[in-house]
Amino acid sequence: MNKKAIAILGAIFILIVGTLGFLIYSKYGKKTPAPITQNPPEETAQVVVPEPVVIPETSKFSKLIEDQVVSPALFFNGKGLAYFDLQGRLYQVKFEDGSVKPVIAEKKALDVEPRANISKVLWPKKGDHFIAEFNGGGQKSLSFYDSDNVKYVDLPPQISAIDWFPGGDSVLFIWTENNKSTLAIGNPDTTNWKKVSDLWELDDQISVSPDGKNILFYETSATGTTNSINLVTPDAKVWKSLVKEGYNYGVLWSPDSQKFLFGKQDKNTRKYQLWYYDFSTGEVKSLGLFTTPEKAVWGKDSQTVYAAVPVTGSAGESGLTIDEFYKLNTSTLEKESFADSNFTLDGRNLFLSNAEDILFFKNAQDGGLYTLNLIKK
Amino acid sequence: MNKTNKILLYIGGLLVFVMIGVMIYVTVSKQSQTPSVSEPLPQYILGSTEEVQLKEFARYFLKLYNSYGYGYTSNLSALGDDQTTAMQEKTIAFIEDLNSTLADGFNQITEPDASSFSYTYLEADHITAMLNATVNETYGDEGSPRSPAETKIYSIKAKFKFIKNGDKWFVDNLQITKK
Repeated sequence: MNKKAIAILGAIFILIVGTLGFLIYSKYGKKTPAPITQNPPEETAQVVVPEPVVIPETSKFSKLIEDQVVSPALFFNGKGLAYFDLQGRLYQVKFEDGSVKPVIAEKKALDVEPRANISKVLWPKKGDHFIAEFNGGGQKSLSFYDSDNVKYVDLPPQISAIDWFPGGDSVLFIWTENNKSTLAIGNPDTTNWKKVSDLWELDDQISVSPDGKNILFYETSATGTTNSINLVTPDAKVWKSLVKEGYNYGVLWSPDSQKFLFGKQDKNTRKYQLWYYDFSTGEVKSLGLFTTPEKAVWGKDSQTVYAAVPVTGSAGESGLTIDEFYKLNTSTLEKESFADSNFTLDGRNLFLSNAEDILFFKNAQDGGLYTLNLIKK
Repeated sequence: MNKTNKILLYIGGLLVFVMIGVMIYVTVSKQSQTPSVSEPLPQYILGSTEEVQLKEFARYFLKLYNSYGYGYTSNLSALGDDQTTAMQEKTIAFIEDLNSTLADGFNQITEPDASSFSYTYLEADHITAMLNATVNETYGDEGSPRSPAETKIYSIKAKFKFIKNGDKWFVDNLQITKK
């Protein structure tokens, strides 16, 4: 074979290889993606789920506020809380967004006249007003804070008990004068009042249901072996003695207004036990926890109760206690306990975060505000 | 050139033609298989008056539907006549959700940007339309102990699905997303 033939054969070979290469590339080569427009991931306006921030920690309990707090209460949107200090200054604390536990982002004092000896604040379910109780030298007095006019209005000393109606624009109160007590409904400053009824006792405490349809009342200084819990409607048409047996003290309505907790004194130990009354079933039972309604709070489901239960000392007495905390199902009486040896805790003024994952409480041992992380394992 | 070389040249030439043919075939068949994503689908077009009317309807609907506050959701139910039954059911559920979740003191006002209006009109009685808006969210009052003042301003994108019944367009779905 001559040189020309070899060259032609070589050219044919290169041509065949090139063609095969083209075919292979066409079939398996890099594929250009179709130019499909992809929208960026969108966040819905209604549901905003913040990225959880994981904070390693060993205890479920922690101290949130060092100040000695009076009547702390959550913001209505759950993003912070308000409290008074012992000098009567009102503070607001805002939480950081997106944190799994409350972390203080900002603290500021509000422009509210500081009044010393503040001992308790009655916060309404709605609105910006509040009623403050002061205790100077053993003498109790009440003042209504008018947030529209930014000032306190002192209530008459004849007001022996008071509670808000759910709308936050009217109150129920007892006027006691000349050995006679009258139940009345009026404006928060007790003006424009309307009589509901006269009362037999002079030392009644009152509690309005969250739906405003019923009122519980009981004596606060009965000296006998029995102290009943009674009910009246705001129109005074219905009167009932609900809990007649035993010495009972303190009530706490469930959010659905269908149940309430009360404290019943144990005949033998003289300690208060937490009891439960259900309007729909008529069931009355002990919850098996030696504590008082003042050291408890209902969950939103009106079935779960969280309570601080003394292991040292007794609830309902003037001294301090050392508590364990419980989550209790009032239907099944199933309970879960929370304790921490790092802290000495006397839980008061319990309230829950809106998601019910955090329990806030004032620790009467040091006056500070503490939290209990309820979901942390 | 001897006879062998001539035969090789003929074979080579023939191969060149065959291979060129194969390459052309492969290239053409591949192009015909690739979907033409940039090619627009046939679309209906609204007349200028109709477009202005639909834009105004979308603007008015979004402004009212997304402006509400604590104890104040009447805007949403007032728009019932402009919604299909399916959308009315979604609106009722949304109102119930708002009534149970909005905190005391919360309020939001939505201001649509009419110039952002665009639409896709692929079926005679269905239109998908987009409209951007600014939401001014306020909560509480200065000095309120438990509802302190907060303001948030953010942009949203609304995607409407309109359905035509007779001469009137009804909102069948509204998806609102933060931008």
